[in-house]
Amino acid sequence: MNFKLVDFTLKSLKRNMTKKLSVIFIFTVLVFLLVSVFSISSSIKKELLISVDSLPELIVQKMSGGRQTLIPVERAFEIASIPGVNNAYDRVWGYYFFENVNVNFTILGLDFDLETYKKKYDNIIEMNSDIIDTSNTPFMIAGKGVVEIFNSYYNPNYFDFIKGNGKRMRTNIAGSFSDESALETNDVILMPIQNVRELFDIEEHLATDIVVRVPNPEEIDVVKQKIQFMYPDCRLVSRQDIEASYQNVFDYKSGLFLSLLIAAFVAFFILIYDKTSGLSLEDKREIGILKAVGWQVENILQIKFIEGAIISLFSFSFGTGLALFYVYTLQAPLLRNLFTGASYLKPEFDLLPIVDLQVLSLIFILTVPIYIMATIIPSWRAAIIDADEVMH
Amino acid sequence: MIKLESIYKNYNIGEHNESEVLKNISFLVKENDFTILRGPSGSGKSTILSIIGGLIKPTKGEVFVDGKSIAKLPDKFASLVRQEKIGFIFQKFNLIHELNTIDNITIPLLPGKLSRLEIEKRAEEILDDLSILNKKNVLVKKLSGGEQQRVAIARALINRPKIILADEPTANLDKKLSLSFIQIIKELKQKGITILLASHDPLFSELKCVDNFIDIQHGEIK
Repeated sequence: MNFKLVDFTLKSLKRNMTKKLSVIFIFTVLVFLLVSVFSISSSIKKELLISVDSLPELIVQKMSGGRQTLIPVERAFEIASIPGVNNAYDRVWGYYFFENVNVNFTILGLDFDLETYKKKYDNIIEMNSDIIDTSNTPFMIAGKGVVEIFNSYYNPNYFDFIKGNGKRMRTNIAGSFSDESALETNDVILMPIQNVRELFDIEEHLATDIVVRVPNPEEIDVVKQKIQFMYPDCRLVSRQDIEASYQNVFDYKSGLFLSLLIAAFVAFFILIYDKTSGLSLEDKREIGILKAVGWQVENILQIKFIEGAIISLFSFSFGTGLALFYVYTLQAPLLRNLFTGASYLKPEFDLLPIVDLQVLSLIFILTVPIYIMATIIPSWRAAIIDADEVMH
Repeated sequence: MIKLESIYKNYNIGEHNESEVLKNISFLVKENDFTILRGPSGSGKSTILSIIGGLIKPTKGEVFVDGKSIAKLPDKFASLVRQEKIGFIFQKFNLIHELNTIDNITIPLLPGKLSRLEIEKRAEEILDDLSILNKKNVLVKKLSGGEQQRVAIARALINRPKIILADEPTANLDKKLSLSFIQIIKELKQKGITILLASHDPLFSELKCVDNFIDIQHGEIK
């Protein structure tokens, strides 16, 4: 490495700083947008995949006339006896519409002593200290989003649900989920199972669906076939189905960014086109001078390479740093709303810091070498013609 | 030192506007000679200098610089010849205006192996010889015409060339500065440098130190 040429290039950049600033600005904005979008996307994807990981391997739903209906609880015992099934239990849940905010919350009935759930939720529930007695009155544990809406539009300590028979059911808000599980629990209300049955008017021998736990992933398909054979009126939803469904929604939202990114790329390629289509007279004159005083074409290409590398690496690093700060420190204001949806109930969760090296490498390859080439090619064209012509 | 044999130069070859700017040019410049190429504007003087300097190639003919044929030399080697043997002084100086004096002067040596310190030391010696050492950190665009020309001369001398090619060096100078330039050229000749200068300035015709005059008209030697 000839540091005298590096020094010369730095001086050249310094004297052309105003010309280069627009390039650095566009380059930085492009990298910022790309890294921001991909970082938000990676974080949310990770969060969703964590959520999916906690889902049961199979969910059994009874179908009637093409729509889901209540399923007999006894089927859970029969399913549990299938080899390979570790556990099968019924779930009682439903959607409840809150008129004031025009939103549905998911109300899930839970046997709070049930080992699986206890293990999962014990460490992520913050209890409401105002509610002490939960033995006689119905109670609920709500997601952060639900609690916020109760605090803003209803009573922060209880809510009067209207049951299936038209009567009120006062339910204390006993606690809320912690921030860590925000994405998956934000619009969820947990209640003891008997309260949910009462609310949705579900009889004791019926349930909304049946959850099936199959520890060995190799056996899931076989178990699924067996259940389908036993109960042809049932639909079986696997974790993979839910994951695909999440992915579809997510990909759809990612698609919204395409227009933004395409616009950024168009700006970048206009810049590249402008650079490759020719040098200014001043640039050509300078190349002519360098050749006339004895520089070889390769020396000129070296300084142009250094120039392109300095501008593109600086813009790439600055844009990346800015994007990571914007996403993980500022939590991506504006952009994250596009990803998480414009629902009234916006999940409040922290974007997990994930640096996807593959994505960063891809952005690097799509921008830095292209820019360097765009800097070198026109200079090479000018340098290979006679210096005499260049100088005229 | 410099030998041209039947040099022809045509532009836009094969096109409707093809033009022959040099016809059968042959001459010899001996070592340490001071030679003036004389002739009106557009007669082909600058083209001859460009061919000798390897900036352009002749359409036909041979050029020898310090015994080496350069007419068909690939660009890379032509650059090396320029770097090692030739110093150019241009009519419009061709300096990089946003750089200071010393940065302009040191440009020819940057791709080479000399250290930054050695280069700067050499540059300061030349600036001192040309009495512009005090301007070494001044941007060249802030220098007067005469000072800019001294910077251009210093840049031509930094690689300690055997040959100086000067193209209309006094065209942008008044008489006083032109005389000052002639004095510098005389000193260079005394140091053993071969000088080939293209000019139609009558000042040079009166010089006693000139060894040869070559008159060019319409691309031919008269």
